Amino acid sequence: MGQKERIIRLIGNFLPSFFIATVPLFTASLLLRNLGWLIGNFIKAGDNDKFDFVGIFEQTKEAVLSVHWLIPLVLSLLFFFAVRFLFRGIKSKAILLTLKIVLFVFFMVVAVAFALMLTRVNGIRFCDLLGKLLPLIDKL
Amino acid sequence: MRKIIILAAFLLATSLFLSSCSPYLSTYSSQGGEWNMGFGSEEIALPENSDDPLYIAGYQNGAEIEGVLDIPRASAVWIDVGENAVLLIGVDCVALGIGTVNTIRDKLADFCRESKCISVNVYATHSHAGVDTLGLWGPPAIDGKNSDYMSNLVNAAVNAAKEAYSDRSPGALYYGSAEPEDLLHDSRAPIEYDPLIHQLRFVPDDASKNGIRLLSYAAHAESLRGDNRMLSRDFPGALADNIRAVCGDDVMYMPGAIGGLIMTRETVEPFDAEANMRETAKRLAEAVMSVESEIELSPSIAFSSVELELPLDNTFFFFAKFLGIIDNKISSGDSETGYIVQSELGVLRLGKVTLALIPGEIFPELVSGRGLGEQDPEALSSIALRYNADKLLVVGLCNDELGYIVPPSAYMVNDEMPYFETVTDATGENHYEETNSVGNMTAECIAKAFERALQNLQ
Repeated sequence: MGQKERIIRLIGNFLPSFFIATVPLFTASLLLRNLGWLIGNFIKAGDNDKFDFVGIFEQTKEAVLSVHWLIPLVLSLLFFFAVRFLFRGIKSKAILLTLKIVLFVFFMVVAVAFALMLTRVNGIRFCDLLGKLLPLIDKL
Repeated sequence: MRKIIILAAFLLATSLFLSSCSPYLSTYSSQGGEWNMGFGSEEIALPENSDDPLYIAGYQNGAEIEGVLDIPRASAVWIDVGENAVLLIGVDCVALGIGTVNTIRDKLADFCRESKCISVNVYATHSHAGVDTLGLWGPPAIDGKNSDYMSNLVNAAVNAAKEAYSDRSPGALYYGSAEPEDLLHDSRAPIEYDPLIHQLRFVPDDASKNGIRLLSYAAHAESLRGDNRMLSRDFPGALADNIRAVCGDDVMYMPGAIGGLIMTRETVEPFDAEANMRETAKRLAEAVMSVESEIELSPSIAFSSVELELPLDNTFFFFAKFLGIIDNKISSGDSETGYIVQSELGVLRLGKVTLALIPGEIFPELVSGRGLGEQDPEALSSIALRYNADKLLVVGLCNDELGYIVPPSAYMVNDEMPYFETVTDATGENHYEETNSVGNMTAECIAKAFERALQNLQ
């Protein structure tokens, strides 16, 4: 294998891990800063609603976010080593590619979920907010 | 040459670092010398062409101010006995969060470094006719603070502080008290409150200067009542105006132990809001001017400030923190919500008088000890006595606003919707105050912090 091919292969192996480490952080930030817009698309405000949920959650636009990076980083490393060593014996390129894609999507989804849930918004983890808010929504 | 450059860079970095260090101390004491006090005051300008509305604080959500009766002010008193000084800043508003207090402190940092002021303490008069400065009276769960007004408030507080420094002069300080006639009402059992109006009166040696009166009275500043939509300082402002008209002295009003809910009675029938405010202020001014048998306080200052952590049980406050409405520091901890909130408590001793700088609205029984249950913490007055602080005054809503500080023995929340709905107990008592409190442990945390602050002064 030539030098150029080795570099391309290395980048090809490294890039997906890099995306797993970074994309969830931006996704979590984007979602948490635009909660008002997201909620507006899921909740239709009635004429007599006491709470303007869209307006309430739009306030997170100015929030101080502490993005959770640890688990996405760990998952990216796990993905890198899994691809490097776990799939060594697989000869079929089609099967190898399929497995890489499936693993990549799975790790990405898990990383986004952890980043979203564990990111702190003004000091409070989003998962803790959901834990207190969801039981209240019906009652409110 | 290279060594000289490195040395110069090191010295520059060190001086920059040192100049950015906080001028504030957490503990300080000094005695001897003479009292030096000064007063400053500035109106808080109403913002012109602001994007956000001005909500009136204290009662309903989303009620906007419709007119102006009188303009809220920020006032300040400078106090020293010859060396370092302490600033007390009082703002005509419902409450100030610790974030706003720290903003004022940061803006005063350079000034305090130069003027040797080691402590800035900011309290709210708790006027229920002021602009929402805490964020809880906008539309439900939407921050009601107007950023332009908050900026003007901070600037007014800073200017008042600097004016107080410029105004300082030597003189004598006296303590006295009087009892206004049947003016207070306690809406929740046990019926317990401090009926006295307490006064710290500074008489400058220079007879051409105004005297200064710090007045401590345990009443919610809501003589205009809940239907009012006019911006006003409420009776604390009218009281200051009355006293200035009578004797020329400058006045700062400090709310005492007002939790539970202690407020002034209606003094006019049929009820008229403005007339009630003026009559309330008139009666209080008469009581102040009747103070006799004052004791002169020997020049000594002692100050101690401690941080405290409180379990955050209140789910509504928890949401308000998530949304950025409340600005306290928060961290994970043992509580109903899984978080604890940080605040601060201070003790300021002026001669024989000890001011407990409490970051909220404490129930009077937690101060006096009368009406407490077995599981309640030791009363602040009892703790103070153990540290030879027998003349204890409370300055409520000081350096933060944690809401009501409720005795644990009386603490009750709604089972279905805790902190969102009130609950009425078997005796018919409505437990409204719990919905505006941090949690059941607040009283105990306050008592422990108070004792720590006193210990630091030993």
